[in-house]
Amino acid sequence: MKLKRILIGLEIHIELKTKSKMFCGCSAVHFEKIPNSQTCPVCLGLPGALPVPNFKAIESVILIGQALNCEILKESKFDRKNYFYPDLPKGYQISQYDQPFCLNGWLEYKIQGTNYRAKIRRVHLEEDTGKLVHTQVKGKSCSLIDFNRSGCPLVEIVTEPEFDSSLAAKTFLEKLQKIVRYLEVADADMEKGQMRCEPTVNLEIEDGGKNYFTPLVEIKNINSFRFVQKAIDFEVERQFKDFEEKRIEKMPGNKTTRGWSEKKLETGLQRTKEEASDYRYFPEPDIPPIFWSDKQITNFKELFKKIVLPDKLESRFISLYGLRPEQAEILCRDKETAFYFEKCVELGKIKKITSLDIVNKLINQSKKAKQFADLSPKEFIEKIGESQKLFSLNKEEISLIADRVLKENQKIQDEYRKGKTQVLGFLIGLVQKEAKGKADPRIVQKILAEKLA
Amino acid sequence: MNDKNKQKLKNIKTLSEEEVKHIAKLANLSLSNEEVKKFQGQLSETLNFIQVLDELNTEKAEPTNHASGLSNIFRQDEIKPSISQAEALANAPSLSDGFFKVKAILERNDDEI
Repeated sequence: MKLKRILIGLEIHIELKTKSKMFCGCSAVHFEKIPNSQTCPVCLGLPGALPVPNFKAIESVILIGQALNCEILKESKFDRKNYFYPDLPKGYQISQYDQPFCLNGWLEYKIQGTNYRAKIRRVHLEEDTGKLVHTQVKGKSCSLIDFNRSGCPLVEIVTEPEFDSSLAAKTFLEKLQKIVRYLEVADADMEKGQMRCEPTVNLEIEDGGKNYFTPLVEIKNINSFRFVQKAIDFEVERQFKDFEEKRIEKMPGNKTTRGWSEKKLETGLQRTKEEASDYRYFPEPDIPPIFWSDKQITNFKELFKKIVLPDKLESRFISLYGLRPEQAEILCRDKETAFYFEKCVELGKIKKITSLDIVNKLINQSKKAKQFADLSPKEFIEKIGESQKLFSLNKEEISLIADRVLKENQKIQDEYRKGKTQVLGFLIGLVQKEAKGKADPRIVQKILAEKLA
Repeated sequence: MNDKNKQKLKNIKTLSEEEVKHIAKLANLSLSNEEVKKFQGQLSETLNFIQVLDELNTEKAEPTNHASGLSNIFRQDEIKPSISQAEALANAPSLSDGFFKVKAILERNDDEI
């Protein structure tokens, strides 16, 4: 029995950072707020309430769709997805079924220098559910519900099941997070639940010249990129063993949901999955359909064109400023650092500070908890300027001083050559003294070591 | 409606017990065995009655998904006052510390899933 192929599809939910909720005016900023303090008849699902779509949320979804190379559908609508769960006050979720805002896209991502292309099936808009807390009250297990999150705008992105490793899935997700942050439509912090990812995993197994597919498993409850990888890896192994034992193949109706447990580092069975027809989708009668005019589509495209995405910025940094791809990648991880860099380069030109000087300083600093964040680009450039002025001597000048110092200290030279290498520090000190501190100590050390070799 | 669906509807005589139980589950209803039998008959009758719609010729009718004739109704992204926590919870059958309270809902609840 041999594992032939891993098939991973991703379903990603991202909370949009609009001010108000999807269909009502309650605040959509719900993290750590007093429970049930940001609700109204619409998001509590009270009878007679009328949901009205938030245009900003729709615009945000269409930006994401464009960044994922999707087509924008000219006709779109909202549908009701019916199911019962305590965090869903209406007994249905307003979502999109057969006419989502965006369809059929792709996104390229890179693993160790090689480009891969993931196909995107759809990008649609829906409302978030309330938040459940599973706990005990007076010794009895119960679930508590906070509806502050109920009705917040949520984008769902569905990929084709074409990722063949957990690393590919994770890399794609990191890229997606970076993109929505550049678009400034979401913060997408996984730990805060602003970006939630549900991989669906199954395997193709070869046995005795025949190929078998294992039943689909959707993994829920993953809240970091690291755990995306761990959960998928665990599931691959579990499914292979399970197939060896039970030989159950994929069939309509045998998809299951498993929850990832951080403590146990394993997935556990949650429930058998409902089929799409069980959700009895139908057009939302409270929200009229949406038809985009050509002009509106052009507006969406114009809006998108104004936004610089990380890929474009990285290649600009490489071609324009001569950065190495790794350097460009580090700087472009977040928009703030990337733009900060560009501003510094602009200011540095006057003072003859090169982009390479800036990138080195910036990358070194960003390792140390982003100290530059406190400095304006102008201050940052001045700081580099000072340190360069400080070490104003070039290699040739330092070399001349070093020659002079060595000539005057023949004995110490001999000691060094006999193996007493610690005298190098003393020689560096002498050169520095001669140079009145205007030599870069690293260059002094290099030159001395070369001359003494 | 396409021929396949028409055929499917024509074939409905009586729903099976399994189908009734499945529909009840989706509607979050628990039915006794007698009720399953009772609704098996009633639901089948209803379905057969609705089948009369099949006789309509809908070849030239555009699919409608909304009756109001309106389109593109949006709101701007502006915050309006919410109701208070006390108001939100006023009709809750059970609550705890500002939360709505329901009985434990996960089958497997040894961990926060």
